[in-house]
Amino acid sequence: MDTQPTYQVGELTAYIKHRLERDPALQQLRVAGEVSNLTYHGSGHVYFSLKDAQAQISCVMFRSQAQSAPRMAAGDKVTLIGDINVYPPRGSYQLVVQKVEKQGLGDLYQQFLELKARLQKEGLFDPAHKKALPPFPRKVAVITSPTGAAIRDILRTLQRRFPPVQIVVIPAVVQGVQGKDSLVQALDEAQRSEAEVIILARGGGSLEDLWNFNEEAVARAIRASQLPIISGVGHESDVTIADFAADLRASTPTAAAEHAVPDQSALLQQLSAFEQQLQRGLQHYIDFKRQVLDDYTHRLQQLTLSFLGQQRHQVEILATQLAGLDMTQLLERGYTLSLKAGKLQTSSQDLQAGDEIETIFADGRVSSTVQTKKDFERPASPTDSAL
Amino acid sequence: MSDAPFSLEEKLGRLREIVAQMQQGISDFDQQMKLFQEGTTLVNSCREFLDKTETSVQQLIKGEITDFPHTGL
Repeated sequence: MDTQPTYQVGELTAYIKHRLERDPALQQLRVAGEVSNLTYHGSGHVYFSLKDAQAQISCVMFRSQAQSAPRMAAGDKVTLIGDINVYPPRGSYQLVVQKVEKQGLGDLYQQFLELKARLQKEGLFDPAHKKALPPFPRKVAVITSPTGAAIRDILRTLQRRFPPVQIVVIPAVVQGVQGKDSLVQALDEAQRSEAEVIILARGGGSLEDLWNFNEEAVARAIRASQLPIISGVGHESDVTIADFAADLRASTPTAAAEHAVPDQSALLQQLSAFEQQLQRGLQHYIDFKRQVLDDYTHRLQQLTLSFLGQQRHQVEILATQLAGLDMTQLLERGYTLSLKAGKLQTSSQDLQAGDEIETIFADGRVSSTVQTKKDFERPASPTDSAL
Repeated sequence: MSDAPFSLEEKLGRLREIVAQMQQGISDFDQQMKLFQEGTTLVNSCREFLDKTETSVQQLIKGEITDFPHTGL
């Protein structure tokens, strides 16, 4: 029809791409089917088709997603999560896969939930059962595969954080059908290792890969352990029954090693800080006490000198009083004293003519006899006189 | 008279007695002279004691001596 515009191929493909990639129903979708034409490319990308009886769709999984996805084989029944996109050079549409769930996984997950619920109800995960970790373990037992990244990460972390720690590695099969018994046996062996804490670890993997850590026998062996157990299984997001049963769940093997031993350099820093605080505290105490002592010394001196001053004042008051009673000074100035029979005479009225008296001078005494006497008329007191 | 066995307080007490007794009035001249002589001796003894004590206290404060040589305070 003449009214219809004529597109170039590129324009049409761009329009189709736009329509498909903007359709929410085609983004983050889940699709189930069987894997075929599978190629793990040298670049790390994975190319395959997903098919069922009626149709097939091209799929690509890029390297970054492929690394953490379970390994697939042709014929596997899988559920894929991803986005539909259009690849213009080939005029094809494809599913860009973000996540692969192998079928049967749903069954495993169901088992996981059931076991978790049952053991939880039984009290196997009760926080009251959790054993405290020793703050400074002398020996750490590590249960994991003797090969692989997990053991390397753990040994490196333990030695970096706390060089003096002794490490005993108890090798275990951590994947496959022998794993369950191997882990239970390793846990039993760890009890006799003289370690003070156990690290139970495994590197990342799919749910199936980690399945041994979801076994009931392993969970019970963990709970039965006399020694505290730190689990470090898989990546951050992987949680296993073993994690719930363990005394402490660490997110990764490295994190488990970090929890197992203290950080020696941090401890030394803290120790050094304590030492400084102690010295400063002691210095402050000494300074304070010295100040108190200075204060007391000053008061002691003041009180003593003040007391001596008071005593001296007392002495001087008495000395002045005594000086006022010094009769020799009177005699020196020419006054004399009269005695009769050794008694000082203070009134002429006490003497009669003929009395023997003694007169005292500053420089001697003379004896004489009273010849005459004349008493002075004393001025009358105001009360006696009618003025 | 010897003042060795007397403390400063005892000496001051005796001195107060002497002054009070003499202030009551003179009767026996010789007795009065004896009291005056005893009082004067006591005053001098007290002064000497206080001088020595104060010197010792100053020496203690300066750290020149560590033992206090006198009693009687």
